[in-house]
Amino acid sequence: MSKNYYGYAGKILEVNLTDLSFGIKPLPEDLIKNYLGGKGFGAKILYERLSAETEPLSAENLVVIATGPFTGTLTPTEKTAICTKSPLTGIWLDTNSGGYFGPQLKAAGFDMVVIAGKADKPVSLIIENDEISFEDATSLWGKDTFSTSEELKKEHGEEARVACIGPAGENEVPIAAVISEARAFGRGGSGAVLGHKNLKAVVAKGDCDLNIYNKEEYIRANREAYNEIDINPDTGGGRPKYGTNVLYSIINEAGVHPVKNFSKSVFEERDQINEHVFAEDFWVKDKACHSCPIKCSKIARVKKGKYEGKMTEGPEYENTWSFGAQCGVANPGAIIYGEYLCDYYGMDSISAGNIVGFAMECSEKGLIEEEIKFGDHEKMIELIKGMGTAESELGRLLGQGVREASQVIGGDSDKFAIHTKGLEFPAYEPRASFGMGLAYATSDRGACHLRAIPVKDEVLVPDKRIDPVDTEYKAELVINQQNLFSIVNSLGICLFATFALAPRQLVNLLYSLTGEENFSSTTKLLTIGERIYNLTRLFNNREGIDRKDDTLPHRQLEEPLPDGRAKGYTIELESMIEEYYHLRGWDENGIPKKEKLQELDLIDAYNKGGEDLLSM
Amino acid sequence: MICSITHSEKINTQRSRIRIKSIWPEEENIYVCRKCNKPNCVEKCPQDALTQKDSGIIEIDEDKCILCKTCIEACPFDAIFVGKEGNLLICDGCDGDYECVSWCPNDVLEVKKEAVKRE
Repeated sequence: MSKNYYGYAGKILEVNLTDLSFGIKPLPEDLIKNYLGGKGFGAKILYERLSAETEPLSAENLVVIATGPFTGTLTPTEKTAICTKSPLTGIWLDTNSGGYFGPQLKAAGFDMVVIAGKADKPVSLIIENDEISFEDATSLWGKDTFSTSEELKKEHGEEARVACIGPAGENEVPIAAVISEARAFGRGGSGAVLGHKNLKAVVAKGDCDLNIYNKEEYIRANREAYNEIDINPDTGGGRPKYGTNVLYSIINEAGVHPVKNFSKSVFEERDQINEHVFAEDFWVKDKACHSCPIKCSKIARVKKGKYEGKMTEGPEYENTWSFGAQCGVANPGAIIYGEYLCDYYGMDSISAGNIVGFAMECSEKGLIEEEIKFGDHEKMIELIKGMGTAESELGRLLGQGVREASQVIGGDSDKFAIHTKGLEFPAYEPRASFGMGLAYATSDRGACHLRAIPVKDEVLVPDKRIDPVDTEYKAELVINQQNLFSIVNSLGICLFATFALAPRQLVNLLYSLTGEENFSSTTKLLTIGERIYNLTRLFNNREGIDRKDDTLPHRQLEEPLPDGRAKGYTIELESMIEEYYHLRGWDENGIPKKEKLQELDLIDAYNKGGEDLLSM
Repeated sequence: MICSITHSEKINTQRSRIRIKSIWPEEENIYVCRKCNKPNCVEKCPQDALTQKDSGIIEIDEDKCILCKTCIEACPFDAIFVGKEGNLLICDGCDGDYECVSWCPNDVLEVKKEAVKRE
């Protein structure tokens, strides 16, 4: 390996499944300088190599598995991105996971794998340093993600790490996830894309070195980061103790926790499934991703009752909501089992729970025949299995996501199909958190809490909170976070670690690791973030996304919230969107202006892929 | 990770003298030299390449070592590894600094005085 790379492994693996060929290329220096890693690498490659005509479920679609400079290093804590065109939304998708797969991919010597084509029968891709091979996966096809990774690890050694799909991905269910040993590249259906390509699993292991540019500074910056994380009341206090459910009671109290398919905001039975219940009665062990001092992940076991013996790694805040209040379910065992099943089948647990809640409302309104009442946890489990296996007719329909399902179900179900651009909402009610509304409406992959999480500044911070039901400053807040989080999702660092670390500290870590001049100041780094976010916007514009799509469901825009702190409110989206476009340097239709693209050095990319857009 | 950086300047867990094997969901095992009072590795080495210092640390004489791996077999804690360049890796206590202990955010590791007390 060349000595010139610091922090990066320095190589790209290009795979074509159609003829089971591969090529190894050096990682281009200008890709590093301008796009950083992870999501940034994916954005650049997919914008240039896909077109509006590319079908998400086709041999032509590409899957980019990209690590960042921090992945697999001492820096807390690791994330890896999968980028592709989503079969659920039809637009840009990047989805992140922690765990250990990314670090092993980098230890094998690759910053990134680009997967093209479609195998004619199931295969696994095996990466062991420079030895790349394809293995017949016919005997693994049909297996759940736990047995799949267990068998592959048995064959390739305990230190090998596996990212794979389960039955949901094989059946090309649009909410299918890629699972790496109980951690999920969850949102947007990347599992279905791999399923269509007949790629059951990617296995990585290796012993390649990563170089450090300035060891003394890097050690010092990491020491500081570990200390900051340790003394922060969130990352060093509540989150290690309660996991991501540290938010649960606060968000409930603030009236931001959606209940029964976002029909209300106060869940009477909330205390039966709050953070204390899980911490005291269910958690048996802390788990951590690679190099992570936060250890927000937990192993939960159900010790009594109907779900006795069930276990999962979790449940996280999002799943406590999606299989809890969203479905009117207050049974911790059912939540644990629901989450386990999503990992087992390889499916996004946020979308899955959102969809079950939607089906419950459809049933209560008489729009579907099956009787599925809010609170019926047995029915909820049945529907999760139905979606995961795609065996029942209703399961197959619901697995398409709420946007598609509401079109088939009809009635006025589209008014309470809670999604933006086809991606189901996560666990925050925009009517009680205007910032989250704007974040969902403008997120590049559809409704998402990880492109910007303004509810933090509206509800969760101990002081200097801004009014959650006002539009003021929300555009600035969302834009700044989207740019910063684009960096976070490209660095290969976990968002939670950055709750404790200032951008300057990220610069110290990154510059001492890589020595790259373009990463030597906060301004330079944020410019890269802005570039990435504008490029994913261009990707979406090319798919026909514009102002009409930057919106929220009828329920959030027109139906006043019936209870909780924000009782009586609908969200005032229009004025925030206008301000957002203005501050973004996008025109009134949501297309980045030429001057903005010039400023961000994106005009070349634009001219290559988006001539039609320029004339709009 | 800090072990590999301290000893080799590189980031590479395969250069580390302390290893963790975890089997999902609940099993985690740490492998590192325990500085045994009567180290079997030293006793079994056919080349006399290993000696124990007063601090308990096992020292490797790389000129004598022929990498027969007898010590690896002899270690009851599976705490001796072969590095990338075919050299033996045994915890050297970082000259008393024990970087792994100092960095562990969960206080899992601890240096116990009794274990290194020599007669």
